[in-house]
Amino acid sequence: MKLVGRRNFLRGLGLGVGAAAITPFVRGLLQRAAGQASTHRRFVMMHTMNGLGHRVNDPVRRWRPSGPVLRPDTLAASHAPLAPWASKMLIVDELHNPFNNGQHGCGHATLSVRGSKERIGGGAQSWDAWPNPTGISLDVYMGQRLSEGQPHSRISWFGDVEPMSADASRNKVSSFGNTTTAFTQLFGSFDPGASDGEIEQRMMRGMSVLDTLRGDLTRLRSRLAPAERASMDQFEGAIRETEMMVRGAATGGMSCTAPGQPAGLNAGSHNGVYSPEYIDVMVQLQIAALQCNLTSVAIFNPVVSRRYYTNILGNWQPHNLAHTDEAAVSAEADLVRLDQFNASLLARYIEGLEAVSEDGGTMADNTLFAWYDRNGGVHHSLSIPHRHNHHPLITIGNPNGTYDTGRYVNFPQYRHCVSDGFVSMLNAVGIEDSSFGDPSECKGPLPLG
Amino acid sequence: MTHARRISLPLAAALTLVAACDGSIGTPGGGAPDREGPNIVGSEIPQERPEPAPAETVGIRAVQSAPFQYERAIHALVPGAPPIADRLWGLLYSYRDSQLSAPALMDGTVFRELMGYAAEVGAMVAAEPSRFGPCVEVRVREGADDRACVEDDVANFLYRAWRRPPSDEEVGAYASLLFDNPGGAVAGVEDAVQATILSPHFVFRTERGSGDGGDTTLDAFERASALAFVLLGGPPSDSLLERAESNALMDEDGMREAAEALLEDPAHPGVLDFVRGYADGRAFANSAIFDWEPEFTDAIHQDMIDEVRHFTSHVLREDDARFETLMSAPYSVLTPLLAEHVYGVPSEGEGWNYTRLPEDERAGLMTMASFLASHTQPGKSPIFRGLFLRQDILCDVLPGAPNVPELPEASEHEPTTVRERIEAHTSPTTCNGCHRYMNPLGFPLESFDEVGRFRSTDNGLPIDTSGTLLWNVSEPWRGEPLVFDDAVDMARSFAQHEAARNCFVAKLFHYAYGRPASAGDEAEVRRLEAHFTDTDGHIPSLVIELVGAPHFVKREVRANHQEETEQ
Repeated sequence: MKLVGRRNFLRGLGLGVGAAAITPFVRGLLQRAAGQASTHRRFVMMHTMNGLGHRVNDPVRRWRPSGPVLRPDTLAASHAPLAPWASKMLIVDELHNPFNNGQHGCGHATLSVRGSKERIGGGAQSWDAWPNPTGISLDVYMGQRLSEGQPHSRISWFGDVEPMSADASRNKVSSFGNTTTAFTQLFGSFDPGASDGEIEQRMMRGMSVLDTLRGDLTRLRSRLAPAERASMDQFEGAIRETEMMVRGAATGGMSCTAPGQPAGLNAGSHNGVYSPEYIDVMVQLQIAALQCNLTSVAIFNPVVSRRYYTNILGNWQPHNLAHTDEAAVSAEADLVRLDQFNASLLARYIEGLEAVSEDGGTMADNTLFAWYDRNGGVHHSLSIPHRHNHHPLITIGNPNGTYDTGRYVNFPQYRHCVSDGFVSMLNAVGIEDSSFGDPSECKGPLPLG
Repeated sequence: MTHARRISLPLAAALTLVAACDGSIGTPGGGAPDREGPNIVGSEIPQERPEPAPAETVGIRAVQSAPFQYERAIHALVPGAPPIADRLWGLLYSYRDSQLSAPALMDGTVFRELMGYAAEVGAMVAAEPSRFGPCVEVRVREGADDRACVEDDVANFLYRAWRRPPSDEEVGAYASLLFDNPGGAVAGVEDAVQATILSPHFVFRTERGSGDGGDTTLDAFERASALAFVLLGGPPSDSLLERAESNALMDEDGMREAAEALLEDPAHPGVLDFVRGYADGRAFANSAIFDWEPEFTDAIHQDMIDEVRHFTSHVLREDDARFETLMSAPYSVLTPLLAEHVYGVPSEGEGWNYTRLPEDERAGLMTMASFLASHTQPGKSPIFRGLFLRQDILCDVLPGAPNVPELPEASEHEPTTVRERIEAHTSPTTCNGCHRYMNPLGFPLESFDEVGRFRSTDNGLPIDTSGTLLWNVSEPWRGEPLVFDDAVDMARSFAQHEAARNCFVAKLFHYAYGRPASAGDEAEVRRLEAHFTDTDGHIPSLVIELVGAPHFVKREVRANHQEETEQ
């Protein structure tokens, strides 16, 4: 890590928009320096997929704790890397997803439960609900509520080739899939030799380009037939968001602790060269972005391809393993190793935010960390089709103190919807919503006492 | 208030020339460039560019370009521009968006990534400012400051980029990027180019039409664009713009003649882009199926993607160009890799070669490996392949799926086939009410594995390849169910069936119009269906009939206007 001064200008857009990274951090620094109580809350979620349902091989306690009280010695093997935070953990089990007739669309279903009974164009849920988003996804909603005034409402990197997140208009929302893209857009290329005048000049140029585009969009939009205007909404939002970043950069002037160009930055994209280096760089960048207050919401999904499994575990067919049923105990060791690897990634985020002081504590104290396996329990067994029930949910931290931690809660099957768990998480970061998704299916926060 | 500017055509030729002539364009040696147009050597024909459409026009339509159309448009504007990087393709092409419909992804991440790409293109032009225009070049190289001259360059550049004459207001805004740029003249070029290709006028294809409040028709340039995006997969070529300039596209014969010329030119993609989208080939390109088949190399994967294009090209240009052939031909065009690793047939030599396939195994597009792999879901392929055939090859809308109850957690103690498992799991009435319309279409394709290789057993058991096409009971009576022995039987049946033929027409309509057909299009769709039947499914004839119709260039503005004023 090194200090990135204002002169360390970012040229990711050909203009240096990434310098917007500076201002929010400055604001955060000043706030901390003044000793003000922060109401800032953050949300970090690891979202796993592709068949690692927690009930697979669970007779050997891969996932389930040995008792209702979570301590390092009661955690299951898969969660060992999270042992230092056992007392801050909450593990809930047997959440169900009523929209379980999709295939891998469970990714959308689980993240986009909000309003997901609608199909595109209205009407009942349909096969064509996948892969089309069915409503705003949890991470986008969290970003809207928690990241106001920050340059990125949310930052995500996913192994998926498809966007898993969506906005309220059901437009898909992209994720970083490439390390260089992520670095450039978050921190950019440093230009330590630039003078103040040069920096101002670049910012003015950026605003001029955006002003021109906004003018085009405004003129075009006003003359579009009403039905055509919706297609411009996301475009307009993109310009607005980028303008905010440029303006933020223009009014900045101090420093942010940001990463230098990480080793392995050219690890590339998940698509083709997925590797431990790729994961490592993405984790570094996302943690640094959180530390710099570029956003308050981070979500990631480390699992996607055979390369992931191969690189982590050796020559191995992940999807076949994912299809193993409970009789295939030979897969247990590999499954535990994979889960532990995933858990270790989440642990890095916790450690990263614990390293930054805030409000007399650390950033981690104001952050809710979560691990959600979108595939649920048994969906990938050989003999049964994909399903999205028996979901586990793990949270670490409890910024608003809305429930007790250090507990394992195994709910009765089919009683609580996954989005009930989402409501509990919203409450835990201070968002006092009472439902998420279809209220006829999801009744509100989990009864966690 | 607008004023006419001078423009030079053919534009593409001029651009190419500019790129090739190493600064010899314009007014070398200083002096103000010729206000009547750049001094381009060759066939330049300065002409009066039409006035922009009046600002009070309402009901304008915006058709988002597909990523491949966007990339081609950039390369046409700035020859030699870097390709859109894989990362941007991935961002732009949201997973499984068919090429028949445009991607709906322009969020902040994509926009900023495009901004970075556009900056690269801008820097490229700024390094050779003659590519923007002769007056801009003089301004950059010699500091000349003839604003009117530079504005003409801006107008020409925007015209080439946006495929229509820009308004004075637009020219003024972009000229400001050049003149009022704090970074100087070079930065001005960079920023103007960047903004031009980020503009919604470039990202979208806008249609204002001409008319006086009622339904309007596309003007000559919009017709050129509409034709180009169907048959060139990108912006108009210089020949098309010449036709637009000379008003040769303003009648049916002119449109048909232009379409025929484009279809006959092997240098143009014609309808290959459409067929690739029709087969959902792009989804295959992104398919994760190869994550599960590590022995399949990237080279094989790429060849499978390209096979659709080579096969379709052969059908259209070297065979009889009929729909039936596309859907049932007993051959494909293969590389040695495909022949050996996918189709299990002798290779016909290096490169792409016409290759006969076993007639009891393969028949046309539906049995092509990439098509099969595109719609694979391990353990559930019959459902997803059948669903695609039902919805996208037959255009049959299925009722919404119910809230499917949890299935019993069966454990397999004896081997079963995928078909047996699916039949067992979807046999309850609540499931079968919908699955009976899709599963039996996917079962014949069980003779192909997840990546499209022919097989005769599944899980060690013989495969039952029989299938049935039940007509949707919610639709008008369409005849007795069709019964198939196997995939080839089904493919041949579809190839001759009116439902599949009409669906092809509907898909082409969607692609060409940039939207699915609506109630107001019904008569035109019926007419095209009849034409397709009358011509024995001749695909080029269908394309010409579609783009040559008055309906293709008509836009209903009044309804939009009314809706707008009521808000």
